[in-house]
Amino acid sequence: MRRNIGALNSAPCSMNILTIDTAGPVTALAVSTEQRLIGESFLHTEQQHSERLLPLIEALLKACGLRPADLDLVGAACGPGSFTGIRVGIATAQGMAQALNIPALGLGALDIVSWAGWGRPGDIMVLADARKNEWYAARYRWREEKEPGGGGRWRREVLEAPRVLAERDLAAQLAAWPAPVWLAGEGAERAGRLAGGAARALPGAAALTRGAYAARETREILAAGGLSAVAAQAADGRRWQIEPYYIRLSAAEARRQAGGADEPAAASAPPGLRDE
Amino acid sequence: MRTNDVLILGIETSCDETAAAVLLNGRRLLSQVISSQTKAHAVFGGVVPEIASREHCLHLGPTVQTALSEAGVGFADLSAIAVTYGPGLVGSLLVGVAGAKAMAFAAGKPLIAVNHLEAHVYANFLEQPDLEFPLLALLVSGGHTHLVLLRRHLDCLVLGRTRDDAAGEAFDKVARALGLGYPGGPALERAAREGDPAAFFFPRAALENGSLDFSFSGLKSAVLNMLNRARQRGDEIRLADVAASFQQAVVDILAWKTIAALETTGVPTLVLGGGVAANQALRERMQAETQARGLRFLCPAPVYCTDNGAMVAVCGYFRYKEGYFADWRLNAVPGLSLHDFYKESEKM
Repeated sequence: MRRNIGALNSAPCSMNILTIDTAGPVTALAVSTEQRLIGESFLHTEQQHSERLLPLIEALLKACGLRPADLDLVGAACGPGSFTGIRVGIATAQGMAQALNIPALGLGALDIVSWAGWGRPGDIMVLADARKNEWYAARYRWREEKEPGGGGRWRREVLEAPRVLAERDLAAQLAAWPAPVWLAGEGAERAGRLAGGAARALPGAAALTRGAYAARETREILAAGGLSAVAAQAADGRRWQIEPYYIRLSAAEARRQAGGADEPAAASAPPGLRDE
Repeated sequence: MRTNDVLILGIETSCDETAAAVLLNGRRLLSQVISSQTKAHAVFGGVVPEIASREHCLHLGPTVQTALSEAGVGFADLSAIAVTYGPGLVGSLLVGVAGAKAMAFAAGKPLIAVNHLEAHVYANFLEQPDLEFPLLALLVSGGHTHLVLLRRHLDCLVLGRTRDDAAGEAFDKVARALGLGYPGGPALERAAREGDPAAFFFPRAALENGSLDFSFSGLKSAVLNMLNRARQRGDEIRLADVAASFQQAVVDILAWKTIAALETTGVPTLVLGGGVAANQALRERMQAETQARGLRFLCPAPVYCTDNGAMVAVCGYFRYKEGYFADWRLNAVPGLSLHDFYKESEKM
């Protein structure tokens, strides 16, 4: 008898994927394939990303029994979030991908955290600190689609793409939101206190980003053919280039625009990751 | 590539230039790429840190790639990767440090942490690999003005430093007041060529007896006050004369302190480094002063005076020879001084 099960499980074309998320206060890493999560790391210490990120990558790869050269893809949260955090993550992912001559993939930082709502029917709002009493916010809806022959598949819909929201507008929006909404991200707890009504913060670390979420987000993009899009974009051989997604201009540029231009004070469009 | 060849990739992102260079055996520069952000900052009249960081993030990868391909080498051929980790703008430094660490880790190469100030001194080794210690170095840039005694590799002593503005900062501020635009140093030097350096007399701060420290804020204020008075009275003054007289004062201060340091220490060789070392008036003055005393004088070509990857690579080469490697925890240190470097490194 032929043994098909082993062949199925070993998935001959499987890729080793490292994902890096340093867009917020947590350093979250994962090693995965298209089929499954292999290992993940979560650090929420006082150290800076710059200090703890590479030692953590080294430790995780080692624990997974992989060398850097075994990697086929590096993904990184490209924003929105802390400008410096985004750059440390991108520079690290790009640097590794460049030296290994493998592709790199930009992941929406709020899209990553939206996976906290997976398996939980309803809406989820992801909030990251944008300082100055503002938040980076995005809204998603999870629902289970019944599949023929039983079982279901959880699908995510983007209700509102990431944007900058003033705290008072956030409070007003949450109060008026018709359906129950879960709050996630580093701003969840504080927004939960503002909100009342139908909004509830996911408790403690359950609200924060995880390596597993970035791994799932990567799988979703790969399944949608995202990698071939990256490869096509980078016909010049720079498949390792990741575009940051700041949303906001630098303060100096924003002041300059406000001073004498009729252009909107918002930066570039998202790098093609939001079209679910 | 022979087996005992040493091939260093140097990366520099401490301020507003994204730069990378590949250096063979400490003396043959195989490539040198500088992606300047001057245009991105010009509309703001100075370097905007957040914009600098964003530009580095976009340009680091392509700059390194170009440096490697122009040198005809790949990551696998490298002996080590050297990167500036301070002093400088923290956001800018972080991009280079994170990128260099990731490249070194992924390629399985050692990482070398380079002090930006020291790299400016080491730029002199690019053209003179056999340069011998001890050396007296005058480091002059937009952020720093230092007189440094180097007794051997990994051993230096700061003899004097500015107590207020750096020399280059004074150049930029006076250039701005004269309406010469940004970057101010080169523009002021061009204007000064048409002017009379004796047209005005501006103060030259000597500080207390025997001090090798510098002060430029009094000089800068004197120029700005003079311009204001002239404007209020409606006097016509030649800007070229102001530029030339100001530049003369800066060069005098730098020359006097440097000569004093050479005479006190008895060091036979003077080297220059930093962006202001590209100033022709300063180079000529130092050349004349050292020649008159029978001392040796070296100054990097202007392109190696301003920020570049080659100086990081050459400093990295000597660190490589000493086995001086950093670990993956390496962080950016924006306030790094020449002394900090050794303490910081000994921990690793």
